[in-house]
Amino acid sequence: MISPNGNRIAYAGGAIAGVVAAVPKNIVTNEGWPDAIAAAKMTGVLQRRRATTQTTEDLCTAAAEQLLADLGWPASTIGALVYVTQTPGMAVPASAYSIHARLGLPTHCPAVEVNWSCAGYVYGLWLAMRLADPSGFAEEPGGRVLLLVGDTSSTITDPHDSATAPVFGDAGSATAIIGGFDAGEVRFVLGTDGKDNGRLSQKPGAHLTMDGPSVFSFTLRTVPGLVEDTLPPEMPKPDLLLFHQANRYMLRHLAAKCGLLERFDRMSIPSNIEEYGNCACASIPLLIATDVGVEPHNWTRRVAMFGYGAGWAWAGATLDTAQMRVSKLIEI
Amino acid sequence: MEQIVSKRTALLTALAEIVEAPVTPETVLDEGGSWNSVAVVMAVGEIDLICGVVVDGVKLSQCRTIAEVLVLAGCGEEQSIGADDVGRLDQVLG
Repeated sequence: MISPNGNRIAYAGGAIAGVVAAVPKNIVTNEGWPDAIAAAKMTGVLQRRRATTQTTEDLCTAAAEQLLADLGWPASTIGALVYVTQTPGMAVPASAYSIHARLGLPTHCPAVEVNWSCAGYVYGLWLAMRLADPSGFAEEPGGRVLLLVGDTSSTITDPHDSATAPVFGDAGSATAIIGGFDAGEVRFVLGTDGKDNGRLSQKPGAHLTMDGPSVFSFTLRTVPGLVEDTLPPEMPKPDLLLFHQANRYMLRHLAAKCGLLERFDRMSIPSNIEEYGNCACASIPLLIATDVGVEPHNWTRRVAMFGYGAGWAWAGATLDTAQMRVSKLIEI
Repeated sequence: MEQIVSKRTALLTALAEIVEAPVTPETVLDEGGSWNSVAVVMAVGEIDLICGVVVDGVKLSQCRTIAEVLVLAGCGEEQSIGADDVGRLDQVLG
């Protein structure tokens, strides 16, 4: 179904069984950057995690190993692996294959790698749930799919570029998906507009470049319609709204523009950008690990999530999280 | 008309806070200085809040005076723009 805002509205059956996020141990602060105080006032980023030797695959594999152990899911039961990243450790072959090997996944478990940006977690949930459904790869309801989402953006940013280096943090995550409408119904809202794809981009061999004002303009034009389509009036009000952690000014502005502050209290719109920065496609699962699985939100039963970024691409979802187990954040 | 004047006053106040200095339509913006990417991002947000217009970030960053920003935001005065600026402003506004 196409919404009046031009978004694709799709449904899938499934639920999140568990989430684990992993970050590098190395903490860097933004002290010393020119105009650090003014920049921090806008971005909200005070510190972030930066990989030293760890690859995105290292972070995601560590998260996946912990997740499988926590859930008691043998690797042999995984029906498909979806790996979402813009910063793979290896270009050819896809890094999903090395993760497949490291986790000891069976040969009948296909591995898929997708270069999705900050909307990547929600897009990844959509794909993983489709694969976990009997109409996808799963042979029966309750198929298990591993969704690994992460980025080590520090490997592609210019360390001297004040627009990107002090903003992006590194993180990886693993999400366990159970497929089928028996597990729950998930509403997805998806959209893409590739016309301005160079505004936030990285050419081969070059650093990531970001035209901040254009990113913000895109966000203001697009995300209100995404929120409207994801949270129609007839839908039960979710307990939590999880936004991609782009920057603090943008998040506050969006909350006001979308009228969310009149419908939800501030505690329902958590943020961890001060501590972790913008972790690209991993920001939502990292937010789940740092804020949803702990007091006071560990009672949460239904969440809405919103991703948006390079491409341009955007995606929203509402889903039941009653079965979701959130493990403690791990550091490697 | 009254609404435009009110929005213009509110936007001038917001722009003064962003560039951390008093501004008038004639104020020349210091590209890379107080009119850096952080300032332009915040101006995109303030224009949206005050004027209800989402301006193009590239066009806004190309503005060289406050008057050009006001015109882009839809609350400017044609007469506040010098004749020399008109040609370039036409380019900026596309």
